[in-house]
Order: sequence, then C-alpha cells, then structure tokens
Amino acid sequence: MSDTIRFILNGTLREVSGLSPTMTVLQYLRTEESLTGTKEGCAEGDCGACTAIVGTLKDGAVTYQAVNCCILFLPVLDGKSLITVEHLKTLANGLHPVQQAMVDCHGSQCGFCTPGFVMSLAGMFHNNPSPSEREIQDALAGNLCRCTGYRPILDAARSVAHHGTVPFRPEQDSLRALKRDATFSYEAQGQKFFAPRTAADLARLLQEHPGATMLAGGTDVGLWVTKHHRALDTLIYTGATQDLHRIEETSEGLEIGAAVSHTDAYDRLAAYDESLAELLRRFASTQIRNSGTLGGNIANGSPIGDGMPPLIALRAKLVLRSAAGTRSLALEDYFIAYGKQDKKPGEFVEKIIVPPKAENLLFKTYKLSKRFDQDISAVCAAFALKMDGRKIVEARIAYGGMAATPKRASAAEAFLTGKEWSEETARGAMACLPRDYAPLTDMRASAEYRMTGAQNLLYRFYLETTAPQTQTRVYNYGG
Amino acid sequence: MADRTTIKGSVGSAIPHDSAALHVSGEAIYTDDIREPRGCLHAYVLKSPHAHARIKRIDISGCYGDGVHAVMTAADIPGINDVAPVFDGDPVFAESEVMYAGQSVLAVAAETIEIARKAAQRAAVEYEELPAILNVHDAMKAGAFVGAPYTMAIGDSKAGIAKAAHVLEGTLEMGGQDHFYLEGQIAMATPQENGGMHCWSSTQHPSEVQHLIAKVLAISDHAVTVDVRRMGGGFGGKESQASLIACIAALLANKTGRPVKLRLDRDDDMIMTGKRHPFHVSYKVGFSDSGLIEGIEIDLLADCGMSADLSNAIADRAMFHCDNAYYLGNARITAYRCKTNVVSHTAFRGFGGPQGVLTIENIIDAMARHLGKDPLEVRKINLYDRAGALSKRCTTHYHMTVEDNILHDMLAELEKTGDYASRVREVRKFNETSTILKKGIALTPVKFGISFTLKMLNQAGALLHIYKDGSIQINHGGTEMGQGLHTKVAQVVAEEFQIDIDRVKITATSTGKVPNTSATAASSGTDLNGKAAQAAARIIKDRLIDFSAHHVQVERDSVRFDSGKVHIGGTTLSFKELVALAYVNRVSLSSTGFYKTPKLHWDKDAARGQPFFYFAYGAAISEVIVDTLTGEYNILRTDILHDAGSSINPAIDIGQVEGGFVQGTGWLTSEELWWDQKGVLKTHAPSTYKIPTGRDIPKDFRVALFPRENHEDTIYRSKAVGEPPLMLGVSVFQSRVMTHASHDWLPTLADLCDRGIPCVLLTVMTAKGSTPREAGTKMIVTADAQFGTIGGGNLEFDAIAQARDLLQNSARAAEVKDYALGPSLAQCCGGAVSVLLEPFIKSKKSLLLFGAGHVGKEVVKVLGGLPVDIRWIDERVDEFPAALPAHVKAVATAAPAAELRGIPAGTFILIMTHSHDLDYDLTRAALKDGSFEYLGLIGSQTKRAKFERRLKADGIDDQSLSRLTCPIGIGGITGKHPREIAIAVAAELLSLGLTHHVEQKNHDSGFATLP
Repeated sequence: MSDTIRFILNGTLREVSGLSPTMTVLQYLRTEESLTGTKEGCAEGDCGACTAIVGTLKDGAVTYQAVNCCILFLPVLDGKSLITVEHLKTLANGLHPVQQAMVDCHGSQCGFCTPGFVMSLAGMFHNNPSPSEREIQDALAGNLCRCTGYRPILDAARSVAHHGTVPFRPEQDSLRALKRDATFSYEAQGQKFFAPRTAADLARLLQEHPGATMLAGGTDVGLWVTKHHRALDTLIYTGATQDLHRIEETSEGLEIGAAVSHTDAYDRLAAYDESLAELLRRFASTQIRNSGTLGGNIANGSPIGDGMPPLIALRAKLVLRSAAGTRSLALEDYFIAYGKQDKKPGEFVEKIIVPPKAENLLFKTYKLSKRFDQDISAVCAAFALKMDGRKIVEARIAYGGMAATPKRASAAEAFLTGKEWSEETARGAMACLPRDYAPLTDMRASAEYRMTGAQNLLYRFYLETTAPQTQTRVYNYGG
Repeated sequence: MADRTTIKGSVGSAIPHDSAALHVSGEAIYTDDIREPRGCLHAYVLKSPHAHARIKRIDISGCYGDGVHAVMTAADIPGINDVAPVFDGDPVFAESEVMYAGQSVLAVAAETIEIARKAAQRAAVEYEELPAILNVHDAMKAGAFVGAPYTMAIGDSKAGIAKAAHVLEGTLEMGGQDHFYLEGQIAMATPQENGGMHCWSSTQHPSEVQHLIAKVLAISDHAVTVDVRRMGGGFGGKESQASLIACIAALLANKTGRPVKLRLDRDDDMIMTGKRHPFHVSYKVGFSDSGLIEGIEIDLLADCGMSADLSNAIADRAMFHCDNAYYLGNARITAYRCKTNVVSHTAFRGFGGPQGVLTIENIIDAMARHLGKDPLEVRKINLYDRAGALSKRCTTHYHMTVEDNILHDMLAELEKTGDYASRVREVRKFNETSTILKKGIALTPVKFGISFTLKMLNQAGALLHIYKDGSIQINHGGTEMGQGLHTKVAQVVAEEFQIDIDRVKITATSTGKVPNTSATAASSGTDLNGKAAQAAARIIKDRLIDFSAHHVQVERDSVRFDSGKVHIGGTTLSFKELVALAYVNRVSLSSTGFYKTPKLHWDKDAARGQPFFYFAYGAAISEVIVDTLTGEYNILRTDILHDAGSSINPAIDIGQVEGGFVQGTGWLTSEELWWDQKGVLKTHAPSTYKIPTGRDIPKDFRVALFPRENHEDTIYRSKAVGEPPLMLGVSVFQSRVMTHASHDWLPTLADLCDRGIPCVLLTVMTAKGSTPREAGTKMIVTADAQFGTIGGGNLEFDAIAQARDLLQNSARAAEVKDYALGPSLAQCCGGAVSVLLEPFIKSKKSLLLFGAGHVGKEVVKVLGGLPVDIRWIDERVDEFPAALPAHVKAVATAAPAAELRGIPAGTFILIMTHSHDLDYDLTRAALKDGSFEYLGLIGSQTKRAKFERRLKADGIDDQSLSRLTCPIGIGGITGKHPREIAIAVAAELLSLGLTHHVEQKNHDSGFATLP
C-alpha cells in the first residue's frame, strides 16, 4: 500500500497519489496545479527560471532554501513545504518588496527569467536580510537573464537590502504534523520510491532492490529523466535518512554524511583553505548546492566533479556501507575507470572522512572554466605539499578534467618529492604533467588548453606559496 | 521632455515596462502558460542524427500506439513543404536528404509529450551518410553557396594599398552565438471551422508565420490567424525560426482536428534552430605613417549553414558595417555566402553588423600595434567627418553620405567622462610591474545603419480604437519580446491624446488586426510602429477636432488637447467626456494608421544608394584584467555613451544598451558553439553553453545616453536602440587584445635605455606549425624583471634564462636561439620557434639627480650641454622648467625612491630634495643597494653627522657610510649662491669621470639596431 506524498504548497496541505515518482516538481506545478509562474528554461538546473523555495524541518525550525524545481522529483517534497512565486503577493499583501524593487529598478524585460530571480532573492532575504555584494552575487549565480545585462536586477537586490523585506510565515507546526518515523514508500505508474529514515533501513532496502537507483540531491539523477528520458523503476532517496545528514569532528577528521548538502558542508570544508572555500562557493549555484550532496558528487563517479581533486589531495577517505557492514578506502581508489567505481551491489556511500590538515602543508585548489559561476571545470586542480623547511617531503597532486577519472599526477609527485620548492622544481614538475595525463579536446576546452592550464596552475601554486605578493587572481582583483 | 506635459507616461518619461508587475508576480502569460484547450495534443519532432545523409527509408508503422494521434512526414503535407522566409530551401520535414544534424524528419502528436517522444523514436529511418561540408573553407573549395558572392566598392583599393607606406594582411575567425532566449520556441495551433487555423506563436514575425501556415496547409492567408501576446526573448532567433515550429503544430492540428502544442525543450531548440553566423575574414589594408587608411580589401566568408534563410541580407549587412565608423576611401568588400551542413544560421541582434564591426575594429587595432600608436588615436583620425562637414570623407563604400556623424562629440565626451588618457597610463604602469595579471583598455565606437535593407519591409500599420468610456486599445504590427515596444508605443498614443498611459492598452499582436506586417527586427519596432500608431491617433484626433470645433462653433485651431483635458475655445471637457459626446454624435472612434520610411533607395547591381534612413551611434571604454597563466579575465570597468536620439523612455533604452552590451560581451568571451568532427552540436544547453551571469558584467558599469535628438523626422526624434549597443561589447574584446598582444615594447625599451638599465629584447623570428605566439612577438628581459610575453611555458622560461646569461656576459652580441616545441620543453603546441636575443647595455655613465629646487636647477644648467644623461626626479611637477636641455629627462613621481631600483653600477647619484626626510630615505635606499659609482648628498657636516647616526641605527655599516659624499662639491668654493654650489658640484662630478665612456659594448646607441 503506497503512502501519499504530503507537503505544504503555498500554505496549503497537498496529498498526492497516482503521479509518477519521477514527475518533476516543475511539471507538477505547471500541469497539475496550473501554477505557471514557475518557468522551464533548461530542465537541467542551469538557468534558474524554475526557482522556488523549499522549507525543511530541521531541529524544530524550518530552513527555507531556493531550489531548481525542474530536476526535483515530486516525492522528495514529502514532509516539506514549497513556496512558489504566486505566493509572494499573498505573503506581502501586495507586491513583495523583492517584486516591487524589481519593478522600480526596471529589473525585467522579457520577464521569463524574472520569477526565478524573484524567488532566489526572496529566499536569500529570508535567510539574510542584509546581504553583502558577494552574497547577492552568490545567491543569483544560478539565475540566467538574457535581456537586462543584470545591472538593474543587482540594483533591485541592493535596494531591498536597504529597505527591508517580508520573511516567509512560520510553518514548523504544519511540517511537524507531516513528520514520518518509518520509511516513506510511494508507488505509482509502476514506479517505486523509498525514503528510509535510517542507514540500516537504507541498507536493507538496497539489498531488497539491488537494481534501485540511489537518489540524493537529484542534481544529476534528475537529468537522467529530464534530459536522457530514462525510465527509473525504483528509487531509494537518501534525503530523509537522518544518519547520513551528520557532520562531526572525530579523531579521524571531519566526517561528512553522504546526504549532507553542499550548502551544509560548506562552512566546515571552507575552513581548510581560502582556495577550497572559493572552489566550493563556485560549485554550481546556490540552488544546486542546496539540493546536491558531496556524497552524490563522489558516488556518481564523474571525472569532472569539483569535489574530488581537493579531497584526494587532502587524503580523504570514503566509507561504504551495505547490509553486510562497512568498509573504507582512499577516495582515489574508488575511481577505477570512466563510469566504473569500486562499489559492490548493495553498497552505498555512507560518509566521507577528511583528515585534519597536516602540519607544514602547502595546499591550494583551483578550477578553470569558461565562466566563473555555475560552470563545469575544464580543469580542476589540487596541490598539497608536505614541507620540511623548504624541502618537499611529500607531494599529492590531483586533477579533474584531465583523465577519465579524477587522477593523481604520480610523475609530477615523484619529481617533487625530496626537492627544494623552487621555480626550477616547479617548472620540472610542470614538465612531468604530459607523462601523467593525455587530456581530451571537447566542448569545454581543447587538449592543449587543458595541459597548458594544468601546468600553469601548478606554476600559480608555486607563486602563491612562495611569492604571495604576486597578484594571480583576476576575480579577486580589486577586492 | 518632462516639461512637455503633466500626463502619466508621457513621451520621454522613464516609466517601467507595461508588464513589469505581471513579470515579477509570475502572472504574465507566455504561450506555454495559456490554458490548453480541451483535447490538446503535444508534438515531438524526430531529428536527423547526421550532418548530411540520404534518407533511404522511413517506416512509421511502429510509431502508432496508445495515445498517439498522428505521425507526419514530408509526404503528408497538403501544401508546399517549405517554410523558408525568402529563398526556398527550408523544408518542414526532410524529403530525400538531410542537410544538418538536427533537421526535422517527422513529427508525432500524442496525448503527452512523453508518449509523443517515445513514438517518434520508434520510427525506423534508414540513412546513407554522405560527405558533409562543415566549414567555410571546404564550402569555398566545393563552390557551395546559398547566394552569389557580392561586392561593394569605391575608389581603387589596389592602387590605394600599393601607394601606402604600410600594408598589413591578416585573418580573423569569429564564432557564432546562440540566442538563448529564456523561453524556447513554442506554438499552439487550434483548428477552426471551415478549414481555418488559429495559432499562438512565440514569433517576432506573425505575418510570416500566418503566410507559411497557409502555404503548408494549402489554404489562403485569410484563413489563418496568428496571435503573439509576448515572447520570453527573441533577439532575432524568432524572426524566421519560429515558422517551422508553428507550421508543424498547425500541420498536426489540421491532421488530427485537435489543438496541438509544440514546445521545443532547450536541447532541441538549440540543436534545431539557427544561430548567429560564424565568419572567417581575410583582409589587406594599406595605411599611412599616421594610421590613415588608404586602401582596403576585405573578404568575408559567412558560414550560412544548409540554406539561405536570411543569410544574404545578413552578409550584406556585415558588408555595410565593415566601415563601422571609419572612412575607408579606396575599398573593396566582398562577402561569400558559404553553404555548409550545419543548421541554417539566422538573424541575431545586429544581423551581420557585429561581424563587420569586429572586422574593422580588429584591423584598426592591428594597424595601431604595427605603428606603436594608441589604437584610439588611429580610430579617431579615420572617423567619418563630423555632421555638416559634407566632405569626401563622408562617403561610405556603398556611396551613401553620412550626414549625421556625432561620434566626434561623443568620443570627446566619453574620453573625458571615462578618464581614458590617465587610465591608459595606469594600465601601462600596472602591466610593467604585474607579472601574471595584465590589464587592457580600449575605446571602440559604433555606427549602425537603421532600416531594413530590403526597402519594402520598411512599412507598418496600426489599429486604434477608442471605446465609449474614453479608454484606448492600440494594436500594431510589432511584437513584444521584452524590449518595451508596447510601452513606448503606448507612450506615443498617450502623448498624442494627452491622457494618462493607464488609459491606453496594448494587448496581443494579431494578424487579424494589423495585416502584412514586417518582422519586429532591425531595431525598427518603435520607429515603424510608433509612427503608425501616431498616424492612427492623429486621424481620430483630427475627427475629434473637427467634431468639437463644429459642435462648439469655434475654429479648428482653438481646439487643444492638454493634460487629460480638451480645450475647445472657452469650453473645457475631459477627454472621456469628449469621447462620449463624439460617440453620441456618431463620430468614428476607430482608425488604422500607416507609415513607410522615407528616403530609402538601393541599386543592387551598382551596390550604391541609401539603404539606411539614419545611423545610430555609441561608444564604450572597457578595462579588463587577464590572467596570462590561464586566460581567465574580469571586466573591471565599462563606460558607455549611447545615442538613442531624443529618448521616448530612457529607462527602457538604457535597459537595451546594457543588455545589448552584455550580450555582445558574451559573444566575444564565454559563449562558444562547439560542433564535433561529424557536425553534431555539443553545446546545446546552459550546462555547456555559457552566457554571462551577473558576476560577468563590469564591476563598475557606467551607462549614459547622449542627449541629442535625431536629425531625421523619426517618432519624437528618437533613435532605434535594439541592436547597436550589442557592438559596444567589442570594446571588451579589443581591450583583451591589448593585454596579451600589444605589449608596448618600444616605450619600455626606451625607458630602460634611458635609465641605463641593461636589458635584452627577445623577438620571435619564425614560428612554424602550432606555436604559442606569432612571429614578431616581443618581450624585454632585465636582470630582475620581464615585460611582455613570448608565450609562457618552458620556452619562455628558457629564453629568459638565456637572456639573463647574456646580461651577465656583456661581451656577447645578439644571438638567435632555436626551439622545437615538443616534449623536451613539455610544450604542447608542437611547432618550432626561433628567438632573436638582442642585448641593450648602456655605455654612458648617467646622473640621477633628485630635487628640482634652486641648486638642482643650476646643476642641470651647468651640466645640461654636456654628453651626460641626467634623470631628474622630483615629486613636484611644477618645479621643472618648461624647456630642458638635451640628455635631461624630468620625472615627476610620487615615489622617487622607486627610481633607484635596478640602476646600473656606473650611476652617479645626487640628492638635493626639498625635504630632509626624503633626502634621508633616498640616501638610505641608495646605500642599502650599493650599486652606484658616486653618491652625493647636499648639506653640511652637521647634517652628515645626524644622518650617519640614523643610518647606523638603520643597519648601514661603516664601510657603506664611507661611500657617501657629504658635503658635496670641490673644496675652496665657499659661496652659497645656488649657481656657485652647482659649479662646485659639477666640477667634482667631472673630476670623478662622469663624462668618460668606460665601457664599449656591442651597441653604440640603444636604437641603432632596432628594426
């Protein structure tokens, strides 16, 4: 017997059954609810026209976050609240301050992207009534506009920051009433969707349904449906599995549960290094980071996920779990070949362990992409040198985008080990990279650009660790 | 113009877009938001996977199944299988051959889009792949064109080039651009009684969609009605491309008898529909020493894709804009319209203009770099003469006279407000010291011809109704895609009747209301439709004046509309009262209006005439910073001054300027279309195709309108503003050029030689195969610094080491070093390079003189005539005399101590500044560095003693202190007159050998061997 999907839509309870569990929230809104203010611009979470706000009950309070409805499966809303652009006028009793500012600043032209911008801004202002310039930019990095050139939209955001806003109404009581203690099981149109509450239940479900698709934030699996039009029969969703949401410091290091979102993991990981903070801040967009998880980024084995190079360089470990128990392995060992990972049937990623940053460690990570925000890396690099004075004791270098998997630069590492960290050494290590990688030419970059870029990032690392007064970052230039 | 009236929304007021409140609340209705009629089906199109193939067989029998209502191929089309806008060649469905990967082969209508997609994919289509032409060079070889090559010429380009002092030849590749309107292509067609068809379409050209639906259905135009409420962006991408989508929907609706919606998802939209044309350009230009163009020949190879579409007009417009703002004189421009097996490229904001503008701006830049001049200087001397000059330097290469050139005034103002000159200096200074990050700055103008170049398109209609309650509904042929057209036209109508704008409503554009319209394109929307609406308003206004004059028994000219009121002699009525009265008295309150643009003529065979009614102008300064290690960039600041004539709505016009600029910047930076080797587009969604985000716009973005009315009689003397600003983005591209290509080696070398700092000039002599930099690229290396780059990587690293080796061993002459760029240098390019290394080691001794006070001035007078290089430094620019002797260089700087950096060992230093503290700082810095032959400090023994105590405390040892001369001057001269002191000091310096040539290196004079 299937549960019904219970959630609050714009302040009103909805109980849904019979709809495919891979129907997206966007499709649901536009076709079932005739709420057409939320738009489809790309169906892959890259343009932000479908942005709405999801409220989640966490430790007794409701967290409101902007998400891309176009790749969010409907059953994921179970136990949550959804606020769409149509609700803002109700909340504010007239145009919401964000909406009014967009009108006053001429922030819309064709208007198609506008509801998405409005929702990203409404979400940001609910959480942060006086955002900085950078926080405004971060909040809007996942919203594309082709008409205005953005200046009036940014002005609108600045003016709201100045004049104040209207927050969302408290919904913790209604959400508490929707809380479940046992696995949420939904079935419709021959497809099954499970949302277990514990890791043990998750392991058991995976054993029972060995062909099931694991679903975390859905920022990749969502595209299997919206882009590749794949039929997914059974989904096991980790988002409601409480054990996988933990972040804790243990003797082994920082342990991040597989279902922790990028947003929730950000502060702890950012503390490792400013360059890692920047990399994570540039990881997709606010909407994607609110949904997507570090565990999912690793588990799907993509050669171009930005999480892997820095974690590999920092000696991160992966803990895999199944009904039979757990095992751990070095992160780089998880990636065997393109599309092939060291994951046995019934196993899932339980957590990632990042050891404390070693003493005397020089560490930096960088990404190169065509666009600063919301772009997949052409090259992602991470460098970690353990130093004894000026001498390199141990080198760990990992690149993404240079091979079929995230991969360490073993020739360069060997060259560096034992040498003094000098320009000559750096140049020598750069010369080793063609032995470590034979990158491909594709739509993101040519093989030549990738190799030169990879070499020059190593040189940037040399400069930043030995001559910090040298200016090396165009994006931070001028503060 | 706020003083014109007191009505709301008058012409000239910056009111918001008329749909703004609907946009922000999600209440604005786009085609996909319209409630679907009962029984609405959804369509899916099956696309060709091949760039070029013969269709051997199509079997659709497998497509049918539950929920599938119709499958259509070319064979099922009742009318003509062609939706081309001008020349034939754009089939709805491929017949025997597919001509690009993404071409529609068949379509299915089903109850849901998922059912339709699965059904279409069950079709069995057998292809036989054929050789595909995937670039313009192969098309040229094969003679594959969508139209005949066309040439525009004036004067004698060959002779002009032949007699010019300088000749440059070059090529330029520019990529295409996807429109990336946020709302993808969509249409919903509903069958009407008696074989008619209604269609909601997201199109810029409803009349063409109407006509083409009639054509494919084999019915008359009058049986088809096309409505457009609004588009979620167009940018030219819905000028001709919307027809295919609407026609497929209509065909399926006709076949099934049910409403059919066809909405392309983002990927299908980008794969199936045309883009901005990629161009390959080659040119030859002859020019004078001052940079004046004397003759030019340009070949444009436009990649048109598989059919003509609008390509001929687009290639023409590229030709029309190869002058941008410059008088070309002897010119020959030819455009080849290459036919390739990619999607048929189409209109995109600028319509070929941007490719023409980028061409000439690149040529000017290359000329400036060749001459070592600031590109702006070269741009300015080549400008068409100013308005009113009517000289020969006002004639374009298509023999039209430029009568309205206001760029001279605009550039002067922008240079001033944008602080161009001092920022160029700042940029150069930054680039001297910043090794990895480099800045660039460029000012580029735009001149853009306004009118459709096909004369018949320059006409428009409007339909205006006044209802009994005094409210007005206006319809016109233009479509709303976000540009604010409806708002501006409503402002025009409000202004004419002197009523508040909320009494004027513009709803959907409909072929049933205004027939035979042109596309909303070529920036013409407001010019054409504003005039047509004005004409309609004036017809009714005329009737109202007639009526009221007769009714109140006054003369016509005593009837006046003003601020919501109508004054009729001594009687005043509200507009609403007058309308009610007019209705009762049976006055017609409805009228059409019509407009056609005057003055246009074009002789295609002679390639001469007046294709444009007028020009719109603009200019931008952009400053960028580039990471030379990675190519990452950031736009630091952009200043724009744009000409919208007398703006009808400055807020909307500024929106067009900013949006156009950012879109143009996107074209030239992050937006890259990438087809694989089989001609399949791989960048077909925002995950792979990167338009700018909010963070990519200039950090400091200053936009202003140039307040000057149009000299032609346009609607309220405004100017078209849709397309021209896109080309302001060229300033970003040209400023990036400066950061890596136009390192100013000549001033740097002169400055280093001036300061006596030994250096080596590196020049890439030959570059074979794939190399990081072309021949002629230069960089300069000193013992501790480098200026410019010859391409980075290990090649540069090794060359720098060689250069420093040369500096160490000053006896060596210039040498050439060869490099094979292979694995040995870990350089991936794989070509071969040879580099010339020329040492410049100064032979003379020189004097660094700090202080331009009384004594300093006298020292310069005494030594001025001698062959001694004096570098004279002071913080106070006003202290230097206007005229300086030869060999003396005055340097006004806020950081005098910086002048001590890197000085050669033979330098004499004299310190006599206006400040003791500065004297001290300079003395300490010189002693710390130690590389001088003589160090003299003006002052007494007491001053020396004080300084010595402080210097010791600052860690200067006794041995160093002993090298300091203080007091200065030969003994026995006791006078205190500045000239006496100066003579004593000069005598001391001469006695120590200041004028002796101590070294003789391989260069007598720094510049003798320069190429």
